[in-house]
Amino acid sequence: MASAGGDSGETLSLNIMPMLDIFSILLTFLLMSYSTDPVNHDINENLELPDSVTLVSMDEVPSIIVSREEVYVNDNKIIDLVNGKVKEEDLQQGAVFPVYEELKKLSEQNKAVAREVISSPDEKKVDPGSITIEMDRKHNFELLRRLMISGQQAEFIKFKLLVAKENID
Amino acid sequence: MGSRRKKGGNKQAATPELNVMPFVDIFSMLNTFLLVSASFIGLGILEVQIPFLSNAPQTEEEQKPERTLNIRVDTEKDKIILTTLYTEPPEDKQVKEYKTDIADIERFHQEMISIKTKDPKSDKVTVFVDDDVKYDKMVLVLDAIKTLKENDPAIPKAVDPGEPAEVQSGRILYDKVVIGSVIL
Repeated sequence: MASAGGDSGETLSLNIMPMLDIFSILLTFLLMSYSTDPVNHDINENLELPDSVTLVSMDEVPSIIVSREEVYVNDNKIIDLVNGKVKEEDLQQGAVFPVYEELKKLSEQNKAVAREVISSPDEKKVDPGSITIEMDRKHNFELLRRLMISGQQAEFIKFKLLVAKENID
Repeated sequence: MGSRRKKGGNKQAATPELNVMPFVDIFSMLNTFLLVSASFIGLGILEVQIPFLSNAPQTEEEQKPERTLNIRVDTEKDKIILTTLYTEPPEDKQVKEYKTDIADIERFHQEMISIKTKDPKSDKVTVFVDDDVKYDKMVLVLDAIKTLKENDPAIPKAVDPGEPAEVQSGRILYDKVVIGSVIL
């Protein structure tokens, strides 16, 4: 028990046992929920992820982030949304053109890396990989469709939708 | 600190007492570290594909007509339509309709389990989603198609070492989901 002496000669003692109890419980809880996932990512504060029962953990940082009012590609703000929709001037052939341009650059970079790794002479066999999308739960599918079309035009055909797991492992 | 002398009767005996301050120090440091680094939301992914055109020639295996099950899920704002159809006769076409509330989505999920149990070879589901469907509703439908819940029976399957651990564990219902609405 911690104690302190005063001028009057009395010894005041602080009972630290309740604090120790709280610390123990908190420590147990934090150690139980401690995540050792290799990828750590902070969710954008302007969006809320949909809940899911998926068992698959996030394996790469999202390339496309769609908050309530903005779209980011690789952390660079690309366009503003108006009432959850893309402005007419940003649309081209069903895709979001500025997003397509950014994804095209990403696709070329990924393919260049893949070519170095597998050293394949066949250009068509080089896969640009997949795109992880972090999107607010209240958006309509129309927005996701337009983003997927932008990805499709940049040769991405696999998409990973980031969700909040209902059961934390 | 943490220990003091107590009087025991007339004699002044030293009563041993546990010094808890080092514990408190360690606990404080650990708690601070864990609180800062803790993530209270587990992040997961749902993998989907979109249709693509390929000019690669078909292999002989692919050209061979085989009776496979086509599963199509149309997601509208207030209903889900599940259509199953075999590619070769007898086609045995079946259409079922569900609402988008939690109870009906659970019924839809049970129907997907039933289809997979009857035809374990079926591995692909094509999903069509209307533009006005909310993203979280679409995720609920994808969950019902892709993932087995805790209370669901495991679906026996041959283990393929190339597959992800989640698929091998038998907790994945349909791994391959194609979003058919994403067409130029």
